[in-house]
Amino acid sequence: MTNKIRVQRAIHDLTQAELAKKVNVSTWTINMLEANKYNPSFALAMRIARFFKVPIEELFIYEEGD
Amino acid sequence: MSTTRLLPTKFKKPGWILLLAGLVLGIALHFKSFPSHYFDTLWPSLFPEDEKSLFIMAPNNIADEIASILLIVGILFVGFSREKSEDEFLAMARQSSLTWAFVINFSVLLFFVIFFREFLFLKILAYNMFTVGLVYIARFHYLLYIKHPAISDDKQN
Repeated sequence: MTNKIRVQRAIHDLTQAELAKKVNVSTWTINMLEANKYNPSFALAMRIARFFKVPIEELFIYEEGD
Repeated sequence: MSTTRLLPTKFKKPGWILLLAGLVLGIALHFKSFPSHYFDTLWPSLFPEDEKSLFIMAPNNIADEIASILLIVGILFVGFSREKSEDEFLAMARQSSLTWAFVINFSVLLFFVIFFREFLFLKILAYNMFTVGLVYIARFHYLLYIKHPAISDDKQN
């Protein structure tokens, strides 16, 4: 699974630490998500999508084989 | 791992002090590089050999007991106190580190069961008690601070 968190974060002019605070996770999690090294739980994916006000499937892209 | 079962963050620093003290004392004891007779005392003993009573106060050198207690408490405090911000990635890192620790501990055990005998085997068994905790701490901190240390302060990157 890949995601567009980095793009959305740039649009909203946030650092990783600021985004982490807004969605109530550690900066490690944001770092790992942006590097596509960690797949979030559904609840966290929803929380981030709602924060950016974008549909979840627009933010997280499921790829065959995931 | 439920983060509500972790100790508060303030346990981490004293944990490191206890852990390092236990390691230094343990290594010094192993190499017999200090006068451990200062630790000779009477110490409680349950189910002593060749004794009819269940509990006695027996003479003992407690240096190894002290090193073990320091290590055990230190490992628990460092390994199981909360990071400043616990979340699902840290829970995954803890779980992965525990798996690593368990597999390494049992691999070491298997190797020594096959190749070592008698006193040396017992000595290694005693040391191997601590590998679970030590490997868990090493792996967890490696994942957080070495493998994924970079936190970008850049808003565009």
